Amino acid sequence: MTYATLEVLRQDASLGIKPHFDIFKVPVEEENKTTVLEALEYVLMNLDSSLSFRRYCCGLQSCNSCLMEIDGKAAPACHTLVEGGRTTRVKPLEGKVARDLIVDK
Amino acid sequence: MSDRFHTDTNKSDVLVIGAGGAGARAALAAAMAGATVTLVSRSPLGQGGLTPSGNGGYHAAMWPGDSPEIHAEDLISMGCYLNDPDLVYTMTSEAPMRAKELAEFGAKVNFNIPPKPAEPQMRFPRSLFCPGREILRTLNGKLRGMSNVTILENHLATRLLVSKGRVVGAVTLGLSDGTIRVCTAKTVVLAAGSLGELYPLTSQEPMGVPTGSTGTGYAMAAWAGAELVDMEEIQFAITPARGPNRGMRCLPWAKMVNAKGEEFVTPGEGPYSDIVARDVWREITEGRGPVIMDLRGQVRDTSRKVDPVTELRGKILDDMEAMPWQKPVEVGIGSLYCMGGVRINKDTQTSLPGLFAAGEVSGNVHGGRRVSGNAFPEMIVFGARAGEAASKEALAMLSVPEADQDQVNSEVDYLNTLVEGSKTGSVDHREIRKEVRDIMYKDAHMFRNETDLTAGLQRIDEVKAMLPKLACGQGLIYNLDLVGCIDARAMVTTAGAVLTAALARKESRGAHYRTDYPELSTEVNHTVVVSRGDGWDVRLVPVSPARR
Repeated sequence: MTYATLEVLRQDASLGIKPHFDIFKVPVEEENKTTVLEALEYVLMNLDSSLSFRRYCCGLQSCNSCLMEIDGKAAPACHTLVEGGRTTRVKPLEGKVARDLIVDK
Repeated sequence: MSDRFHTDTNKSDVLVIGAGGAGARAALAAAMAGATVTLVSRSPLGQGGLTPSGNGGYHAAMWPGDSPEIHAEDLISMGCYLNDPDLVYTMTSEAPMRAKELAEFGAKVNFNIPPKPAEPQMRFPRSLFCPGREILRTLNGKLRGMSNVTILENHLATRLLVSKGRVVGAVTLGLSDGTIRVCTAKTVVLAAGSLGELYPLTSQEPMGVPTGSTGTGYAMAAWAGAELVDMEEIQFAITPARGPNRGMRCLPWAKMVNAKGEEFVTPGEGPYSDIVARDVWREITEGRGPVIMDLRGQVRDTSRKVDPVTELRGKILDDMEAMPWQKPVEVGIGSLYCMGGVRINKDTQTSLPGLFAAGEVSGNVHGGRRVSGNAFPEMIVFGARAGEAASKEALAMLSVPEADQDQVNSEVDYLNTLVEGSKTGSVDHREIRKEVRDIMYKDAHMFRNETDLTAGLQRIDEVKAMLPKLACGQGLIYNLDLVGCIDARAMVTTAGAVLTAALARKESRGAHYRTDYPELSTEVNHTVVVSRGDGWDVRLVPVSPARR
C-alpha cells in the first residue's frame, strides 16, 4: 500500500473560512488505479467529513458533474488518476465558489 | 450568517420529487397538461441519480409477431409470477408509444432492434436504445423552457407532509442557499430512485462514487404511512469488488475460480445471471473466496454488437486497465435493482391520497426479477402516467391544501438541530451508514434465514436508537455531512422495511432466497409493510390474477 497526496483548496465564506490548502494522504492499491474523485470520496468518508464537492459520477465521463481544476487544468475528477508517492493539487473551477470544490452556476 | 436555516415556501399544482428519468418525465407530462409544477432535484439537473449511467436498453414489443401480451407474459414468467399483472400489461402496452413520444420530443431513439432477443427466455427481440443521458437531455431541455415549471436544483426532499390523511407536499432543503422550503401541492409524485447503497457493494456507485441511492424515497413514503410492496425482492449481480470498475455488472459466463483455483459454477446451471451469482456468493460466504474472474487469453468477442454506451464504458475501463481481459479481477456480489417499492396501481396512485409514485421507488412491476431492458420502459411509461394522473387530479382541485404546521415545525427543528448538533451530538452519520451496510450484508443479502433476519432487525433497532444523537459539522451551504445525516435516517428506515418484508416471505421466489424455506410456496402473495413508527405492520396480499 502506498499513499497519494491530495492538496485541496478549501473555503466557505458563510463560515468565515478563507481559502487555504488542506493536505490529505490517501491510500492507493498498486494493482488498481485510483481516480481523483475516488480519492476525494475516501477523504470524505474516512478523513474529513466537512469536505464538500460534487459527489457524483455517471461512470461515462459525460455528465461533467466532477469538473475541477486538477494540477492547473480543468479536468473531470472521475477519470483523472492519483498515484502513490505523487502530489495532486485540486482546486474549484473559476467562478462563484459556494464551498470548497463546489462552484454554483 | 446565523447558524439556523432560512425558511421559505413554494406552492404548485404538482410537486415532483426526484429528477431522474421518471421524475423528469412526470414533470413534463404534468406541465404539458397545464399544471404548475415544482421539480425537486438533489443535484444539478442531469448530474445525479442512476438515469445518466443507464445504457438505454428499452424493451418494447415492436418486432413482427410480437405483442404487448407476449412481452407481458415473458416478464411475468421471468418475474416468478410475483409481478402485478395490471402494471406489467400497462407497461408493455404503452412502451412502444412512449418511445415514439420520446423521439417526438427530440430524443435520438434507435428503433433498429438487434435481431437476437436480449435473454433466451424472451421470445422476441425488443431492445430499442435511448441512453439515459439522452433522455434527460431531451426532457430537461423541454422543462427548462416552460414557464409553469419551477426547478429546485440542489434541493433534498427530507419529509412528506401529510394533512388530514392526504399528502400535501414535502419539506426540502436547499443545499446551495441554506433554505428550508415548505413545498405544498395539490398532488405529489415521488420518483426518488433506489436503495442500492444499503449494501456495501452496489452497481449504484459507478466508479466507486455514490449516486445518492440511499432509499430516501421508500423511507419518506413509509413515514407518511404509505404501503410498501415486496421490499425483499432485491436483485444482486456479480461485479468486480475492487478498483474503478467495482459495481460494474459482469457477465456470468466468464471463467471464475475460488481461492484454491477451482472452477465452481455448475456448467449449464441456469440461464439467469442471478442464479450463477448465488454460486459466487456461496464461495465467498463459505470461506472459499476470494473469487477471481480471469479472462486473459480468451478471445474477446468483438463481433458482438454492443450499444454505444456499453462500448464507451468498456473503453473507459480499458483505459484504466481494469477489465478482466487485462488482468484477473476479484469479484463480489453487489446490489443492482429493487423490484419492490411504494405500492401503486396502473395510474401510479399509492395507498395515500395525493401521493403518486413512479420509477424504481415504486413496486411491483418486475416481480421477482427485473429483466434487463425493462427498467427504462417502466421509468418512462409510469413517469408519464404519474404526471398525467397527478395533474388531472390537481387541476380538478380548487386550492392547494395547507400543510400541518406542527409537522412543518418538527421537521424544520430536526434539520436545525442536526447542524446545531455539532455542539451536542456524538454520533457520526458515517458510523450509521457503515452499520446499516454491515447489517444488510450479513443478514439480508443473497441468502436469508429467520435467525439472521431477526438479528438484523434487532441491530437496526439499536442503530435507530442512535439517530437522535446524530451530529454534523457546521455550515448551511453544501454541507455533505448534513446530507449524510439525513440519508442515514432514511437508510435505517428502508433497511427495516427490507428486513421485515424478507422475514415475512417464507419461501424462495425470484431474487429472494431463504435457506430455511428454499422452495416456492404454492400461493403467490405480495408482502406489504406499513410503518407504524416503532415498527412495521406486515401482511400478505394475494397477487391479482393475470389479465387475459
